[in-house]
Amino acid sequence: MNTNDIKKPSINKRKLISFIVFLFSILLLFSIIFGMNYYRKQLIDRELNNSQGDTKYYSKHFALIIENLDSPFGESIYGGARAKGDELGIYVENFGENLHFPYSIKERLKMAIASGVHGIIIQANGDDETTKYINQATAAGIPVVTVLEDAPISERISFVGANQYQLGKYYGNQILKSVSLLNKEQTRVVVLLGANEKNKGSDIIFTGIKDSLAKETIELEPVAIDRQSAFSSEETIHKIIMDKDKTPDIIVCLNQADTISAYQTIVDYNMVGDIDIIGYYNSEVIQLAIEKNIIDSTIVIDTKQIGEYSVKILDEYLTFGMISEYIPISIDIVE
Amino acid sequence: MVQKIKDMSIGTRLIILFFIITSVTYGVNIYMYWNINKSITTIDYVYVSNADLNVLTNTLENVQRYMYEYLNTKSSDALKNYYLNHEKYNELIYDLNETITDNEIDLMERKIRTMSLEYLDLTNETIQAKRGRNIEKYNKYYEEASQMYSYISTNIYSLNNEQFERNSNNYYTLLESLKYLEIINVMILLIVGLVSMFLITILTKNITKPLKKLANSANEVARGNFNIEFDVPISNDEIGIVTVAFKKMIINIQKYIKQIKESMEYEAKLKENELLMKNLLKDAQLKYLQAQINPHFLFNTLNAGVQLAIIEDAEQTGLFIEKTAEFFRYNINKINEDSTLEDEINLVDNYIYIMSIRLFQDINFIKNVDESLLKIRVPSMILQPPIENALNYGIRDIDWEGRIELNIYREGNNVCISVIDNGRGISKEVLDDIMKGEPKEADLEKNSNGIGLKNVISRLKLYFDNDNVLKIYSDGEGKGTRVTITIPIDKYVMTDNFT
Repeated sequence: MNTNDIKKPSINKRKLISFIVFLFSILLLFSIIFGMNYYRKQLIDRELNNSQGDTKYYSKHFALIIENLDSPFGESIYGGARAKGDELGIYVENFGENLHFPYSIKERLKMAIASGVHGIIIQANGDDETTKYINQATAAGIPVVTVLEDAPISERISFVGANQYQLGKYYGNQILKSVSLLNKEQTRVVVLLGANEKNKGSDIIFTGIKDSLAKETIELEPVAIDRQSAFSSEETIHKIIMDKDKTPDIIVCLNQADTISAYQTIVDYNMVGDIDIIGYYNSEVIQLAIEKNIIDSTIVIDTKQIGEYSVKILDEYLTFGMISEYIPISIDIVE
Repeated sequence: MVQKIKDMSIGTRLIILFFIITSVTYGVNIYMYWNINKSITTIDYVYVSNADLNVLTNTLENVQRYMYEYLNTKSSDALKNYYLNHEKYNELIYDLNETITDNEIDLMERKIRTMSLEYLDLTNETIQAKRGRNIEKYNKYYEEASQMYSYISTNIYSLNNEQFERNSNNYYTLLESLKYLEIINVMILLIVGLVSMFLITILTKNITKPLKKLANSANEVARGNFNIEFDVPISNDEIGIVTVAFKKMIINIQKYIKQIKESMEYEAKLKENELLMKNLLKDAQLKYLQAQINPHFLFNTLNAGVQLAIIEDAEQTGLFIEKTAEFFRYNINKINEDSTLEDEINLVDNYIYIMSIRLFQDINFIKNVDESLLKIRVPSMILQPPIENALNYGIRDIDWEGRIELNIYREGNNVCISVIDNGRGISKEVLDDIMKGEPKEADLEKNSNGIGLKNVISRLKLYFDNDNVLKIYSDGEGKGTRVTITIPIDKYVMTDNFT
C-alpha cells in the first residue's frame, strides 16, 4: 500500500474536515452569543425585576419603634417580630430604618401615628411626652404595645419584657459572684443608667441591684448616660475609667451599646483584668469578649421572643379586644 | 436542492448570493439597532420615578409655601395658588401605592400618601382657622401641619434616595447589559462576515475550478495530447455549456485525425505496392533484356527454319518450329503487359506441344476450361510457369503414367485456375518454404522463359493485393501437386467483352 494514501487525506476528506471545522466555529460563536444573551437577560431579570421582587401583600401594618434599631439586639427583636408578622399576614416595619435622618423614638412614634399604621410596638422610656403620644395613638385607634421598657401610666395595651426588678436581682447576683473572686476589702461598682429618663425601667433595675447588695460592703454608684446625645456612652465610660481616684472594679451595663463601649474602652486602655464588665445581651462581639474573659458575664433576654410576642399580642388585641397587660420574658446568664 | 442550485446559471447564483448576504446584513443591522434602541429606551426610563418624586416634592413645597404666605399676608393670590397646588398634590398622591407590601418603596409610598392626606386636612383646617380669625387655632394647626410637612419631606427625600440607589443599580445593570449586547452584536457581525466569506469562496471556487480544469485541458490539447481525462463535472451553467462544446470539439478533432491517418497509411501502402511492382517488372525486364538477343535471333532463325521445312515439305518440322517461334514471340510481346486467359491457355498449349516433341512422348495434358471466362484479363505469364513446374518436377522421370490437368472454372465471384499433376509431389517442408517465398531450389526461378514460380507468386500478390491468390497443395512425396490461382472477377480483370 502506498504510504502517501495514509498520510495525506484525499481532497474530499480535507474539504469535509474544513467544512466541519467551519461549522463548529459557527456553532461555537452561536452558543457564545446565546449564552451571553441568556446571561444578559438573567442579569436584567435578576437585577431589575428582583429589585421589585415577588411582592408580598399584607392586611395589616405594624410599626416597631426601638432604640438602636440596626444593632444586633434591635435586629433580633425585629427578626422575631417580622417572622411572626409574616405568619399572621402582618407587615412589621422597623420604623425609621429607611429614613435618611435619625429620628427619636417620640418623633418616630408621631410619624407612625400619622402614617396610619394598624399597631405600634415601642420601647417606651416612660416620660410624659411619650406617654402623651401613646395615648394619642390609642385615641386614633392604634393599639400600642411597649417592649423592653414600659410606660406604665400610658394607655398602652400591654408590656412585653423582663421583669425589671428581677433583672436587677440577676445583675446583683452576678456582681456578688465577681466581688467574691476579686477578694478586695472595698469594691467599687459603677452602674450605667440612662439620664433624664423619668422612667423608671432602669431605676427599677438599679433598685433590684441595690437590694441584692444591701448586706455587702460594696460601693455602688449609678452613672447617668445622656441617651439623647450621640456618642455619650463611649465618652462617659472613658471618663469613668480615666478617673484615677475612682476607678471602678466592676462596670454594670444595662444595654448592648454600653456593654460594647465599655469592653472596647477597657481594651483600648489596656485595663483588661483590672475592671470586670457585667454586660447585657449576647451578640457575636460580646460572646467573643466573654470567651476572652474581657467581659465577665452578660444578662441575656430572649429578644426574638420579645418581637414574636409583641406582634402576637397586638394581633390578638385587634382580633379579640382583650389581652394580658404583661408578658414576661425569660432571663438568662452567659458567663 | 444542491442539484437545483448547481443547475442555475452563474449569473443567477451570483445574484441570489448577493441578495442573501445583503438581506442578512440588513436584517442583522436592523435587529441590532432595534435591540440597542430598546436597551437605551429602558435606560431612559430608569430615572423617571425620581423625576416624578421631584414633582411631588415641588408641589408639596408650594402647598406649604402658599399656606404660609396666606397666613402671613392673607393675599388672595396666595390662597389661589394654595388651592391650585393643594389640588395638584391631592391628584399626585392618589398615584402613590396604597397597599401594604414588603416592598420598601411601596410601603414608603403608602406612608407618604397617608401622611399627605392628613397634612392636606391640616392645611385646610389652618386656612379655615385663619379665615375665621381664630389665631390660637390656626397657629396650632400651622405648627402641626409644618411638623407633618417635615415628616413627609423626609419620607419623600428618603424614598427619592432609595429609588435613586435602586435606579442607579438598574442603570449600571443596563449599562452592563448594553456592553454584552455590543459584544453579541460584534459576534453576530463576525458570524455574518464569516458565513458570507465562506459562501462567496465556495461560489467563486465552483466557478473558477471548472474553468481552470478546462484551461488545463485546453493546454494539454494545445500540446497535442488528445487523450486527456475529462474530470470537469458537467453542470447546466455557462461553464457546463463551454465544457460540453470543448468535449465535442476534442472528440471530433480526434475523429478527423484518425481518418487522415488512415487515408495516409492507405496511400503509403499503395505507393509501396506500386514501387514493388515496378521493381519486379524491372527485374523481369532486365532478365528479358539479357535473354533478348537470343529470342530475336532464335525467332528469326526459327522463321527461316519454318520456310526451309515448307520448302522441304517437312510439315511436322515446320509446325514444330512455328509453335516454338510462337512461344518465344509471346514471351517477347506480352512480358510488359496484361494478357487474357485465352492467350495464356494458347501459350500453355504451345508449350505442351513443344515439350511433347522434345521429350519424344505424348504428355497426358487435360484441359477443362469454362469458355465464358476466356476473356478475363490477367497478368501475363502466370499459367505457363506452373505447368512447366508440373512437367519438370512433377511427372518427369516417374514410374507411373504422368498426367497434368488444367481446370478453369467459376466459383461465385471468383475464377479458379487449378493445375493438378499426379507426379512426385512436394514434401511439407519444401511446400512451406515455397509459400513463404523462400524456395530453396533454384529451378523455381529459372524457367524456360526466364520467369519462375516465385515471380508469378509475387506478381499475383501485388496485382490482387492478396496473399492467397496462389496456393500449392500436396499430400506429400509421390502424391502429386495441385496449384490453384483464385482471381476475383469483379475487381480488376474484366475485359471489354466480358459480361
